[in-house]
Amino acid sequence: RGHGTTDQDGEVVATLCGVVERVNKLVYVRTLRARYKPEVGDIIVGRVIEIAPKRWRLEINFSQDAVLMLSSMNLPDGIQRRRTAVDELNMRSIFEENDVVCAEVRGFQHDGSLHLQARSQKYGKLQRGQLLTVPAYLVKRRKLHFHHLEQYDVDLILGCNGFIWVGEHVVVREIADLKEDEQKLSAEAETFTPIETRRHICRLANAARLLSALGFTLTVELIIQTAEASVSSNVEINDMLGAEFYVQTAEGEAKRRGDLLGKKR
Amino acid sequence: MAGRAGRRGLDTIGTVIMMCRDEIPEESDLKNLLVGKPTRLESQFRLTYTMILHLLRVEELKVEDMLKRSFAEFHAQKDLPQKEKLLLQMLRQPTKTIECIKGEPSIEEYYDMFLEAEEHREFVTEAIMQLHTTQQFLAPGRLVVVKSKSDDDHLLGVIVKNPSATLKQYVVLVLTGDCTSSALAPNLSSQSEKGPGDSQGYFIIPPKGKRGMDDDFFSSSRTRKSSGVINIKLPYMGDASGMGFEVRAVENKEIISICISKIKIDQVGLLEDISKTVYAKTVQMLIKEQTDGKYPPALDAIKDLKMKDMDQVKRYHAHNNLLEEMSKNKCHGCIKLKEHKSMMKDQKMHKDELDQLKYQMSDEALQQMPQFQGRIDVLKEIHYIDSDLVVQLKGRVACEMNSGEELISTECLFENQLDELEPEEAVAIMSAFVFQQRNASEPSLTPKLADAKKRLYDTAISLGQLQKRHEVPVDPEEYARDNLKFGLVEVVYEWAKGTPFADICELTDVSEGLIVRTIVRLDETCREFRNAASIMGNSALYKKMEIASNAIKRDIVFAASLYVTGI
Repeated sequence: RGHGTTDQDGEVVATLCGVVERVNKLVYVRTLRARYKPEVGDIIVGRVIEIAPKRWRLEINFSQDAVLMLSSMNLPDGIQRRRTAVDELNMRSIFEENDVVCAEVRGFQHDGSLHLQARSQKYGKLQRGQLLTVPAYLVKRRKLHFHHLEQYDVDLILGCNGFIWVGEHVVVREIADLKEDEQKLSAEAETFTPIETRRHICRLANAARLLSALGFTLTVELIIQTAEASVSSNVEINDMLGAEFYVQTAEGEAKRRGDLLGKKR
Repeated sequence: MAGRAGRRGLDTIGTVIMMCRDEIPEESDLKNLLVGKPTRLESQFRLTYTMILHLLRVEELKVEDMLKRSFAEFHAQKDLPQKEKLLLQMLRQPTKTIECIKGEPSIEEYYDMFLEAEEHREFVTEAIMQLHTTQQFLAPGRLVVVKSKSDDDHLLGVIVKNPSATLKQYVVLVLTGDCTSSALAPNLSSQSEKGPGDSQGYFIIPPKGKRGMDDDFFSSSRTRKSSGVINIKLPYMGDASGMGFEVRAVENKEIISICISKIKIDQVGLLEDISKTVYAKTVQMLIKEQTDGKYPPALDAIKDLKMKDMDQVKRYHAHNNLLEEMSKNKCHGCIKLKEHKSMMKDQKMHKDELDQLKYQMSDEALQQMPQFQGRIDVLKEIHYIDSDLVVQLKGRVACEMNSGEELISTECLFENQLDELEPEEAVAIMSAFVFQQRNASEPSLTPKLADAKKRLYDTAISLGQLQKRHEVPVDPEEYARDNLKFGLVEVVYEWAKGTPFADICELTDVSEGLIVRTIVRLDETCREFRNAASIMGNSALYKKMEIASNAIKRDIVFAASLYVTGI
């Protein structure tokens, strides 16, 4: 007796449409197109909707909004201290509305909404890139959600809630360097992302959109493969979402699966 | 104690003042107190499943990092920066490439084969020495091939005298090459200018004699046997017929192979009356035997010496095969073989050191690593994590269990062991997880409770055996007994049903305070099981746990204070 089942006259009956899973004696039904179901430790990408006292509210692909407390966020100068009223007033300088943020699920609150934390260097505000939405069930839980694609110099973050971020690579810096970086930051604001990187970002993003439309599970390898296939077939970036490339990718995938089956036998 | 005085890192001297009120202790005691050794700090780090599962849930941390930070690894980690520097230094040393004059260097394979062949040969020659048939062959006059002081050369020689009571070594006359001056140190003489062709000659013959090890001890002992007196000082070197020779005492192990041929020698002439002519004659006979720079063929271990042991024969054949391979190799006849061999040896040593250093710095050398691996395997087998180390449903449920042993409780839940039980009975069984006293009186249980108890116990035993299989140091019986203590089952059952406290205290000899403490902890356990039920989606269990929690939360056990009522 588990999720998606109920007891009816002593018989276990399914209430949802899906695959039956058995773990020891526990029987539950796993749906194929489920809504996002958060777990502790998931990596989430979300957008800030509101700034509330001492917290930010983020929209993720869930029935409720997630909460990111001010205390769960590293301060810009990196020092560990109590958050004062001044910090609260300066919340806007860290994240504003409509900023894209990457964080990790810390737990659930009593009303069921998510509690997030962004205490490591890898989490935080995401800039210079694209955010895509795909159905949440296409992103499976793996060991690694952050991927740094070196050949394109691009960061790819597969959020478990179905939000995918493709953006320029951010160098993770040690806290000690932050002071020098402050001077650099002002200089950086002037430099733009090189056009090659931008092309790569767009290509990868389109690859992800394409795969999600076709309903394939999103993995890094698959996205890279699709992007490379598009490069080798000389498809323009904006044509990637056109019909021919769809068909080509689908055929490629079908062939690959056929090969796998053949190998197994 | 005096070592703890003063500010840490700032003071070099500290002052300790001891105030003795009544009597001054013994001087030895005082001394011990002041300058004795402090207790050794030992790491109490315990690697638990809960810890592993929690760490695996977070993407950033690796469990190995956690292990590295424990105190047990303190010593290793302290040396880490030094080792890193050493490693960089070693990597920067340029490796000399071996230039092969015959084209592509195949010296590496050759060297590997050489090493393997040496190993086999050692084994085989030792084995041969054990066979008693060899003793028959090692009579004076038998030609043997002896290993020289350097690793490469092998010298042809003849046995002059067998070991006797006083001299436990074979006296052998060996040819050491052309015109070596006898005044030179023995080392130099054995590094003959014999062409490489000679030293390669060794490889062509399937050797299987005794192992050659260089031994330079000599003795001028005397025996009372008629022909046994040795009048010369060993090692005795000389020149005859254009060839240098040496009479030396060798151990079994230095004799590499026993040749088929024998020559006639004059023991007396060689050893007692030192006559040049006898030497010259013997040397000439030896040279004759040495045809074309090759040594005479050696005895075959299987046919002549009748080696029978399976292992030995296998090794012998392996050895021979390797020799054939080696002779096919390009390096075989190469002039630079010796140089290259020594260079290879250096390189290998260098590489070995490098590997050793890397291993020590890596994750593999952690003390807890084998246990960690074992536990990961256990978790994989019971499907708490999948092969990618991603935490599954069962793992997530196990993370919830903080009181009570994680594996047993999770298995109990997933086996639906609490299903047929009423809430009171369920909570009674759960008390086994939290009760902390071993030698309580045995409770008398209803049949249903007894069944449930047995099932839980069996689960624990099977888990213990599983862990043992994967090399986690756990004994199944002890594991089950340590983590499940059924002493309070009846008490809790009665309490949950509503019996007053005074009555339940009569049922057992456990002290009241312990009963109260156990029941309070039990409530905590109920809450955890309830959370687990909501993760699993088992609403029946959820409700059951709620009812159970309410059933035990009453009256004196949950009174906030014993002295003030009403709060």
